Amino acid sequence: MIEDEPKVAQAIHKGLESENYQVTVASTGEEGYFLATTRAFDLILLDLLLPGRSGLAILAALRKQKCQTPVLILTARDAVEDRVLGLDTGADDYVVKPFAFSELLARIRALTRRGRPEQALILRLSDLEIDCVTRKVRRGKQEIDLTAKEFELLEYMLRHQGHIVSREMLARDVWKVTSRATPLDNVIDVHIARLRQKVDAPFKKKLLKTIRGVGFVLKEKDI
Amino acid sequence: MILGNLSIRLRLTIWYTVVLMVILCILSLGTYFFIRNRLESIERGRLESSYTTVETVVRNSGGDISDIYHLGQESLFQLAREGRVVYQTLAWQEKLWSGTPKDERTDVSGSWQSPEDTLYWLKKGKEPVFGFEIIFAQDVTSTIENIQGLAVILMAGIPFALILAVLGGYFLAGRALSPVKAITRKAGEINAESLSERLPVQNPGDEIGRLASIFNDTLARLDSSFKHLRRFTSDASHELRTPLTSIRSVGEVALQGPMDRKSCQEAIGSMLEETERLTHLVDNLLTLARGDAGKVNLAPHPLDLSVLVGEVVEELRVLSEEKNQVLSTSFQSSVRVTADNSTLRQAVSNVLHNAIVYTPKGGHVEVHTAKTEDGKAIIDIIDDGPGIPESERTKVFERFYRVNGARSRKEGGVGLGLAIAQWAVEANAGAIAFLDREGPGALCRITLPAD
Repeated sequence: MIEDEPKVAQAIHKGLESENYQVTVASTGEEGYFLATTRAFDLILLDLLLPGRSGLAILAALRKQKCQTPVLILTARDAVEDRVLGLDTGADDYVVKPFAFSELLARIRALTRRGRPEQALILRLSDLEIDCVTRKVRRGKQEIDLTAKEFELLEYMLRHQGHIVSREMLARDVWKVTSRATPLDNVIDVHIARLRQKVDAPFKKKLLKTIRGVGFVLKEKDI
Repeated sequence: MILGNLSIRLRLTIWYTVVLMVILCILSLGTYFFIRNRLESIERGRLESSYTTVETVVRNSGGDISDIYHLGQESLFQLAREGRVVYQTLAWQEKLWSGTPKDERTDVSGSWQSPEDTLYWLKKGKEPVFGFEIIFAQDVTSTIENIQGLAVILMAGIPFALILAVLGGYFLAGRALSPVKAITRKAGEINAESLSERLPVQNPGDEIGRLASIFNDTLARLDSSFKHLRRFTSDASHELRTPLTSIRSVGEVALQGPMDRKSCQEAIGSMLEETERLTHLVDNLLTLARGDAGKVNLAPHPLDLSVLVGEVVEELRVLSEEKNQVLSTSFQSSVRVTADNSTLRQAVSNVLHNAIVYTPKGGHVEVHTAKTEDGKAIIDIIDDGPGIPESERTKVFERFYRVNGARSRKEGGVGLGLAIAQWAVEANAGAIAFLDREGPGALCRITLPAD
């Protein structure tokens, strides 16, 4: 991780270690470039606004050296042009600060498993099972009727089971809305409430949990 | 241009003076030559006619010039024959060539100036009459002096008139430009703090008065946008400070309280909620700031308005269902517009969200699309909520504006939704307004140019 802001670096470092990732932090561009070219990493988290060499310059230099390590950019600049520039320079993905930590985790997972086809057609958690082809949902023996949106939501949550899913991720990936300045959060909350009503309420074991201020998670155990 | 650095007053004076100088010179030269010609031709005429008298007498005498004596001794003429003077009047003898031998005075022509500065014009016949050469003289001193006097007066008058012109011109230009000076002084005093002041308009009808009035209009607009900006800044900082205050106090209180897992989770969750609110606010502000700076790249495509509006309605339908509202639609088929899908969707979404939020439980919300006869596509979003008083219908689109004036956040957003909607509609060459409606509630109409 190349990040000069110590607080952010420490928080991400701690968070990633608790998810069993090994993290090396470089606080300047030069240090990061040195590490990236001398050691092998699975993924580079790159801040764009660095003292000394800018993140984009480092990225360009790495790609010129044929370094193929996936790069995830962390930045506060979210104009479309900035994203395009970052991706064109050779980044694999782009997270805008302030980001939800759960989203960062999801992107890291996506980048590190890229290339591996992973489109299970039947998703399960405890006694909850959905079939992505027939779009049938069962909890134990009982079949559950979901609307199309609720099904998409549940499928997404199941694909990220065990991990926190933020409202931003849902807005972008399930509702396909990229602009953040929309009243979609309320809509998401209502859908989650209805899904919970159908999937969780009639059963003893609760699976869909709300993490206050962060998002939602499908998980067997309580957190 | 050389004059470029001088003040307008000085330049006006210089121009004025130069023009006046040219006019004066032309006029003076014209006057001088005209008068000189007139006076000279009068003198010449007199000389001519006096000469003719003498010549007639000589011609009629038939060679005997004794009659000549009767012509009077005050006349100035002489007769010569074969180079010898044969007769001179007394006046001639007295005034012309006194003291010079007689026979040397026969070959004369043009003019002669006496030692006493008296100028004579001479007229000699072209050919002798009966052998007599007649020479007539005339005293033209006073005429020539008059002409010279005129020249002197004109020569002396021009500089004098010019000096007067410079002074007068400078004074008049100063007077004419005095409102400009007053305006300049006042304009120099006006700054961001005193935008409510206005420039003095002395005479609203003249050019300078009109200029000042136009500047005053500009100042008024500047004033109102500064006021907007100031209110926007204070509102924005209020909105930013509120969640920050919550985060801070929740954190501080949590640190003082028991550090068990449950209360920590409670405190952190509450802080994260506020963070989310802050993020949301910053995102909204950024959207508007980008719109203001014109930095949003729109991609206008032809699209079916009813499809787009229908999708937005279905997206938000759950919210109205939660409030047991009736959300009904009527879409005219194939109303096509060319617009940027994402921004237009945002606009409709924000307006509809507003309608749902402000309409009480069990209320009605209607969404219509139609194409008007004059080629406009309209989206009407109608609710039977409390409505918006007429005086507030344009203000609701201002940033952070709330109808009740209260800064409560109970009912959803921070007061930027309609501002964003307005920006988004206008970016798509449309207009948005709240219209009169029969019965209670509000009617928001988005108008776009239809394809």
